[in-house]
Amino acid sequence: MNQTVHLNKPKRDVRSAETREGLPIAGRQLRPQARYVYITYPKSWEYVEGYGFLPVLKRIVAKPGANGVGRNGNVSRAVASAVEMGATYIDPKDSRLGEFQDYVRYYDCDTGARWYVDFSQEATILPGGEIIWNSAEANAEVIKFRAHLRDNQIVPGLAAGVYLWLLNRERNRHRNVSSRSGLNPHLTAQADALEVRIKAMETEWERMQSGAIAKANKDGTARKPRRKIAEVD
Amino acid sequence: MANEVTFTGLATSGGRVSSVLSSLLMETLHDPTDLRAVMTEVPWASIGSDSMSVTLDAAPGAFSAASSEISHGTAADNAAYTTSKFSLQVARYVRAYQVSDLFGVSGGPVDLEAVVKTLAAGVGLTMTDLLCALFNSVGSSVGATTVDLSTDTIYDAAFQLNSNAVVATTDAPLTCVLSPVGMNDFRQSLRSEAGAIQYTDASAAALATRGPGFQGTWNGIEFWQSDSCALINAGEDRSQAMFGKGAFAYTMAPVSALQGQIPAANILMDAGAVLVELSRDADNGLSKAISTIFPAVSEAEDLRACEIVSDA
Repeated sequence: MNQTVHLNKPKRDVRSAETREGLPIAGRQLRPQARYVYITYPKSWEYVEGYGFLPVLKRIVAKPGANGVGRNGNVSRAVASAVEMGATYIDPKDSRLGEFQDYVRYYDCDTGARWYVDFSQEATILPGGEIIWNSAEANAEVIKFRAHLRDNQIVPGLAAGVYLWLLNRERNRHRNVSSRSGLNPHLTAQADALEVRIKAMETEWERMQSGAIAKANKDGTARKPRRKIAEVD
Repeated sequence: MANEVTFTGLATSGGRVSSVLSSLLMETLHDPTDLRAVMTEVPWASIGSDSMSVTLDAAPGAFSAASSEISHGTAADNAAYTTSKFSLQVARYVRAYQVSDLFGVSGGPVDLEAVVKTLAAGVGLTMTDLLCALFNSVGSSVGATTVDLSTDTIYDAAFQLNSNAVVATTDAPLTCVLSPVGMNDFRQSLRSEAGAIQYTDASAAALATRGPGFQGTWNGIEFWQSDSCALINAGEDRSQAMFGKGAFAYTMAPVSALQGQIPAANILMDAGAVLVELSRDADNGLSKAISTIFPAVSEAEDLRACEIVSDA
């Protein structure tokens, strides 16, 4: 027999309070960046003001089907190909990386996908769903990471030949811009900036060389080797 | 006055509806760039493997002079016949849309056919994504971080390729793929260029032969634009590239080989490299169109390409 029932505890509908988890990409023309590892090439160097010569980071992207990356995102074949071409693989597990160890980082997306970023990237999500990245601040941290790679000899040092190649490239650019600045006055400022940059590159290289010589003198590796006379029967 | 026949009155009493659906189907804004045209297609011919290796033949070498009339010296010593190879490893890429029976019954300009068409259009975008993902691993690069792209950067890349013996011809011009911002910066820089070299915008005929994404020609270089060019250096820069013919290669394993595994009635579309299959959930009144491709893109020869880094 039916009885009168009194209901006094309505259930909470958590959906009415909108929550946002991860980067909003559902239904948007946004493609999350794929997983990656860093490599550097012997000629991939650039002069960065305040830091000197830094290795330029390149990425091998773990996109299945791209450059031999396997169906499970295994990058070993792509890394091997790059190393064969002279690249240095920056192993995320290398203990010399210190605070930068496991540099491969990601944010979750609202679709369940992962958006891989540089370790220092932070995202601000506006109420409309637009994502704004802290690119300038994050890049400053990446530059410190590059300096760390150089200072801890995780990447081979800048070779003299590569330095001269970089310097000549800047000099050519300077000559080119200067020669055109007569017809294009706006290029004068660019030519001046290049001149300052070339001077800074030369100063930095001299500083590196004098540092290397001082270190060699201290270690004794710069002493003249003893002359050896071969013993002949 | 009374009993006027008004829209408001009829809308409440059923004589009018507040909104009807137009039969016109408009396209949502997107970047349709398909970069398959700038890669070398290698027909899939792998048997028993998901990977196919392609050989690069040894480069011919100049002959050496014999040291004298009666001795070759070292001239006739065996020269190394140095070949190399690259691999194309295919992986499955899928996209699916699921529509309900009510969606079908209610009709409208978006029907299952439109959904299948949208799926097929995604193939080119996938190949573009795969190609652009390779730009940052190219050995040589020009440009500088946080610096806007200019005609000088383009010249640097062209000179780098020329130094590597990548010669552009009328049949095989250099290809430059830039991000939208990179393309804007390039056009901006062109405005202040003095000289007779003219930028030629893409004509309708050029678009018809090359496909969407082609922007124009300058100095023997064909320019393409794609939003797939990856952000690098913590989002400060974009990784773009200039390359000659044969720098990148792609393959697409023919999914028609799956025909024996899929009931014929379930195949909505079989276009050789792309297959759209129907999966029916009768209990819940749902039909799922699943599109599958097996692509691979690889750098065939590193020296034929040069990365262009510029401010994002």
